[in-house]
Amino acid sequence: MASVSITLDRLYHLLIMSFDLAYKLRLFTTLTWTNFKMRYYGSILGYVWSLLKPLALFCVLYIVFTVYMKMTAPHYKLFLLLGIIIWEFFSQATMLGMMGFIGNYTLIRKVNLPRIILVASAVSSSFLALLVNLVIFGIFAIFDGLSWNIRMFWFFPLLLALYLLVLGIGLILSIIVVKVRDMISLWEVVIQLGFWLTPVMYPMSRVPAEWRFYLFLNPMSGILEYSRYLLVGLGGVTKMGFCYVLGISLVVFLLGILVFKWKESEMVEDL
Amino acid sequence: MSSPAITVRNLSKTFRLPEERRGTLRERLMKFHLRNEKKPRRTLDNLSFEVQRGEFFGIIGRNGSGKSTLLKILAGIYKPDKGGEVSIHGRIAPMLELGVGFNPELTGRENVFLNATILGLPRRQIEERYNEIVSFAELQDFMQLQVKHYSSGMSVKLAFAVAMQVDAPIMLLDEVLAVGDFVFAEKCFALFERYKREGKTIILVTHSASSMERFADRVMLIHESRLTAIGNPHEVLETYHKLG
Repeated sequence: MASVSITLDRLYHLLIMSFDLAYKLRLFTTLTWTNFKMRYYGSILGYVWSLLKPLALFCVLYIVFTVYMKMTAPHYKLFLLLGIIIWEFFSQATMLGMMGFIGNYTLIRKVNLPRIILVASAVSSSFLALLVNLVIFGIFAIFDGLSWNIRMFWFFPLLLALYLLVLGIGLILSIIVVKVRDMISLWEVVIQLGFWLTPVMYPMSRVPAEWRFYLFLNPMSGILEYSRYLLVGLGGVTKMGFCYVLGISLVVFLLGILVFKWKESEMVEDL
Repeated sequence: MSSPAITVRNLSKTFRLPEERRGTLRERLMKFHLRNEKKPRRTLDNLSFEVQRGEFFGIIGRNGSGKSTLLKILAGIYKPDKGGEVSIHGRIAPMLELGVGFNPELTGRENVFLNATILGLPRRQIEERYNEIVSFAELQDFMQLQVKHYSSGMSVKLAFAVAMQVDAPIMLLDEVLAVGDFVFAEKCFALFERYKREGKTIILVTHSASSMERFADRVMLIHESRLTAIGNPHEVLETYHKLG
């Protein structure tokens, strides 16, 4: 009799676990899709509006760099566009991830749901937008006469690293912002500075050689520089740098999960 | 012999409230030399009780007595203090508020899917029951309308229709379920009856003495963070009214 009840108990736990996992997955996809839809299809022109900011920036920078500063590198247009698309994702996704906790105040206080999903779905909806923007970039690239190259495949691990990095940062920020509300303004400043201190519109080769190392410490520098080398062919990549970017992104991601799990329940009460 | 659905032993909950809330970095920097004493405040004090399987268990108490905190602990939203034990045998469906996660920018239909997903229903099940939900809420003509254009009565009806589909052996219901007009209240009561027939364990928090007498098998009174009385609804309600 006892053994039967033990097996039943195990079966029951297995059932609960699979139920739990399926629930988490459903919640994650539904919330991600809802966020995405709300942001980009809220109005008919929703997606166009979301493109307006990066496109305006692109036009201004393109004129400044090609007309005034005589930047003549081939495919500079694509180089700049890709940089802006990636940076836009970084700034938007970290910002949305940061709001994942305090922005869902009512939900968190009334339902016991895995709160990590709230942050993850905010970041993921931005990531979906990045994927759409990359398709647009691809169309641009075809018109600009960019030719296919096998090394472009290496862009995918980079894309994954970018996602993990941003998710990790979002998780950490979402916890900090509960206690320190003006982190929002502070992070805006960080993003603003980062835009200039990270090679978004200029290639790393323009940076004085002795500074490059310090700039590369910021994983976003590597992600931008390498993805543009891989897709557009401008710049360069080193094996060590590539591994550093993948490694540090993974570390930030794991750190984010650790910090979140550690402080999560405390923050629910402080919200 | 009946077995317990919920066992609570020596449950306490203490919130540490700072004397002054410093929510921003600026405030912290300006006042970093002043110590911000944290005052512990005990919201629940050493509660122990059991809820049996299939029992309709009422919780009653004045505002601020700690009922909501207890409910949130049972729902797994708050963690109890160390030393306390809460074990729940079976899946629990907490319904502390109707329409959590309703997004005013989304249509009624989209909100049904969103809300039901949050409450744990698989997508296929939502699709199967979608028509039932809509007709129960009597909102057939409004499902493509954004919820921000709904009247408050309409969104409550829709939220209730979704909540009705939640299925778990243990149901946790807050009194918010019984707000609304008398027709709506009757619908809630009909739902309670159905749950009871199905043999679900139900924990209901309410101020309404009449619904307690009507449904509850046992009632627990929480007064000033302590368990003051537990047992026969009639007797506990008498104690409650004597508190004055």
